[in-house]
Amino acid sequence: MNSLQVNVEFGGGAELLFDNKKTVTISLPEKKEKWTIEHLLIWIKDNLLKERQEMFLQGNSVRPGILVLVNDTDWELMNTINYIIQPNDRILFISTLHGG
Amino acid sequence: MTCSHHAVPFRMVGKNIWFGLSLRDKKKWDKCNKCKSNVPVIILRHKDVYCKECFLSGAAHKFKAFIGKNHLVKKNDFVLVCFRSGHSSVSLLHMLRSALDLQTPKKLKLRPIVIYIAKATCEPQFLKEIEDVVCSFNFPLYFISFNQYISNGQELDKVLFANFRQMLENYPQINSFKRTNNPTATQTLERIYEQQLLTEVAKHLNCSIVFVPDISLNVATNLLTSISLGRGAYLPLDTGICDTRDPQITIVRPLRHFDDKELAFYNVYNKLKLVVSPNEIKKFNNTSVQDLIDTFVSNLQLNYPATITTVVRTGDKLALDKTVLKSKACNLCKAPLLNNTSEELNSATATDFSRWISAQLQIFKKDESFNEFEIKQRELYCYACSKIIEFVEK
Repeated sequence: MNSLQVNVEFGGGAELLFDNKKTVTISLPEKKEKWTIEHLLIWIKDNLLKERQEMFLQGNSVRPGILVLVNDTDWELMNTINYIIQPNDRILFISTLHGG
Repeated sequence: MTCSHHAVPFRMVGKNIWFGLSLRDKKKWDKCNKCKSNVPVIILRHKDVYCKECFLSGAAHKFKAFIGKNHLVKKNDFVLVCFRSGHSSVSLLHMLRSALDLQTPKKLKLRPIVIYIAKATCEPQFLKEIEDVVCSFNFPLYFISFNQYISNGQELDKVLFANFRQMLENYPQINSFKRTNNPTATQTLERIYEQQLLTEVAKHLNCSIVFVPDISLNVATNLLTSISLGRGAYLPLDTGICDTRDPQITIVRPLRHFDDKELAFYNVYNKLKLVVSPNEIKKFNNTSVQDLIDTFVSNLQLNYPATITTVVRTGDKLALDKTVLKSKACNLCKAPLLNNTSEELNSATATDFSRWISAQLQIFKKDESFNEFEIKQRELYCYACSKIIEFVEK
């Protein structure tokens, strides 16, 4: 089994927490269990998010005010953190906490 | 579908509950609520699911219906649109542009002019982004600095710029806006002055209407804040569908029935570019009544998804006595002064009375009847503003 490729995108100001990067293609290392968004969030915390973690995460999920779309669909329709990530999924995190 | 305990999302509220819904309800999410055929892509209010087409047409319809139903604009009126950082303004401009470009009889007929109020120190790069976004919708754009308006507001010609580079040339380094040592008073003053700025610029540019991009959360927060600060009598003006305290200019909140999720998805699906100011990130420091109520409403909304709509819809039903609008205006907020001429006692009178009676000790005693005292209290400012002014004068 090879590593899992996913496209992670940030918008609405969430990119400010990630060196202003709006798109990142990442390869998740292979592991026994299937990769869920919950695991991805931990991976992001350890590898991409360097500071102000509380602006992005809360508990084992994202903080209220951060919206998540998996392939343009609301993650609330896809079992949120339990969604099993498929190869080449496009996962978008949008902040509603910035401005306005 | 099973949910083991450790994987429960934060919004989970009980056993067999999935985002406030029983697992049985989840089956109803297979099809869009409206067209009953397509696969849904968004869930709103934690219960209604829509496909992309129905969601987008629903949002556009809600916007046009709000403008049409309330008879807000006359044909070809100039409308001043206040631009702010974040999702709401970009959605507002896109909804306006789409409604103006319609080829059907439902086409909206008005002429928008966009204004951006620069508050903190502004990076040229950020202002350039605003210019690019507004120009992409083909609307005229003006820049004004909040500080310059405060120090030199009488001559709008000198502080209103069609080009941000001109504004930056004369950008004052000193902050002329007097901050009080009370964050609640400071935020209230900022809001009052911003509203005055918009009203005056609207007059200057021959607009009769101002659109502000307040969303449902802002309206709910402002409503509860207004009550806490003793502005309850002015709720219809401060938070209602339109603010008519100025006889010539009406301030309208056309996004009052939209929430942040709807607008964020609207922008994603329309592939709209956002302008986000790194300085305007929402703080959760709870030092002012406004911030405290914002946190309170947002937290309540998480577990009780009807919170915001209930508050906003209640606000929609409030109205101000039309005769009151003709009375003298408060020197600060310009809302009509409510002179208590009737025998009826209101809460402001009660507060004034206890203040007057406390001052009846021999050492403070001024020969002043309660009626004289009360009239003096309400001569210049409304009840809430008289409290704010105390901080400014200190």
